[in-house]
Amino acid sequence: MLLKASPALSILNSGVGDLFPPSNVLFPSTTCRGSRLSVRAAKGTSTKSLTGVVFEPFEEVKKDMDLLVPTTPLTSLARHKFSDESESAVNEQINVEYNVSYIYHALYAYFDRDNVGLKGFANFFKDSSTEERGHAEKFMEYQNKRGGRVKLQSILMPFSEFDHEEKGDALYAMELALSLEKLTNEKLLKLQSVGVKNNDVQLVDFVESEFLGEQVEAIKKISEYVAQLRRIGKGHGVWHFDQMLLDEQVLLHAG
Amino acid sequence: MLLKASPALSILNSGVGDLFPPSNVLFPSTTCRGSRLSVRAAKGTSTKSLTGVVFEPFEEVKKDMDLLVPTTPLTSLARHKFSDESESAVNEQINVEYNVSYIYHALYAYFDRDNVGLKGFANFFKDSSTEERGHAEKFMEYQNKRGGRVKLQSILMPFSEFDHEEKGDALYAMELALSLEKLTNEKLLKLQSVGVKNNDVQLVDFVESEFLGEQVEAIKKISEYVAQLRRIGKGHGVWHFDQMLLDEQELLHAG
Repeated sequence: MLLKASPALSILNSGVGDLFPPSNVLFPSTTCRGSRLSVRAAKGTSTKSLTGVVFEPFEEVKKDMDLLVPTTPLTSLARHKFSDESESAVNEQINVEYNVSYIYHALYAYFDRDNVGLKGFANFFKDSSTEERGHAEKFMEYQNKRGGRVKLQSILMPFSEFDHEEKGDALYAMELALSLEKLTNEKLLKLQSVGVKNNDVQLVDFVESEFLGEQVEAIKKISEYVAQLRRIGKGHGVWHFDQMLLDEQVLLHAG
Repeated sequence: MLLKASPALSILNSGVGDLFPPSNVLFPSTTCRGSRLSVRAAKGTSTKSLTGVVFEPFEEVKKDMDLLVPTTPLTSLARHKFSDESESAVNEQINVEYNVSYIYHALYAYFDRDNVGLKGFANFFKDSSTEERGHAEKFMEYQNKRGGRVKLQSILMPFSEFDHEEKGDALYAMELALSLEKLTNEKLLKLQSVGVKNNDVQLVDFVESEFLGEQVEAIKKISEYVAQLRRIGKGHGVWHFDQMLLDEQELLHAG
């Protein structure tokens, strides 16, 4: 529609005084909110004669460097209003999630041991590991969507022993998981603040909607586990708790 | 049944000369292959008077240290005929598979980029990454089964750029994948040889049946991809190949 306007404007510019644009030329409603469309024939290159024209995309694209499509092979095409700081912060978060996933995998390996034999805990940490890796992948996908470059970092080796003389391994491991979830939450909030600092509304929304809520749920759930484990102590209670976890997982995997 | 034999033996040992074991005492077929059961009452502690008795589990358990059940808390219960060398080799293989998984994840991130945009390749490497991590988990589970201790090591950061001026990124990435699969195959064969060296028949069988066959299939498949990519060159061909991968994946995920 605006394309149709252009010839009209050029006709006006060429000096044909009393030519009106065709009646089928309609401006999109966003450009003439409440203002009446009137055309005045006038010489010169000014388009202000067409009152109500407030959006001229081609002019704007020409003026704003950010909007041009890059042609160099290594440059991102999709990148728009995505600061280097945000890109680094997202890469950092990928590494955080991957590291937490690896620690959970180590916890799975511990509870899967023959002399530990708590299958419920083992499956809980195995699923948690897969979930955290899924989060990392989600951030990798997001990085590519915004036009940043995914840079995977090294992953440090986790601990392999999780026994604790006072607390027992189950409670100790669950407290460790709680600390990890809170740490992840901190890192997510830091990422969100980087987004705020860089006026990256979409990044902020992505972190808030896709991660922060879920993180709060996870912290609540694991806190409850810790509370229950503190109450039941070591021994028979832990075994019973493990059975409860197994039942939960059966439901989860069946549905 | 053998428990019933014990009192009989103790009765014989206490010197009651002419007591025969009850007729319902039957020895398992494995212990008296082809030999006729005959009982001779005799004084003394020798059990050889009961001809055909070739398997005395309690005596054997007492004599062999390996068969005793450990009581120290940190010792593995299930561990039997599993050498330290085999345990280390399995831990090494876990690390190999995890590293390959991470490299595949980096390849996924590359092909998911906005200025690369080859979704078929991206999904192929995403699935490969998940598969390799599954292999690592399989070895972790196996390690625990045999009574070894899973020790996760650090994972090095992979490359993030996979463009190649001559070959183009698709062919280069697929050749890289082929090298990785061949490397994994070498490591698996090394693990199998460690098993052979330690006379660990079960480890050898595990590696052979669960991994070596699948590895050969993977190498064949990726070799075919490399051959096809070499034939089609860069440009339109690679896009078409990518479409073919997408179709394949659709079938895979639908079924």
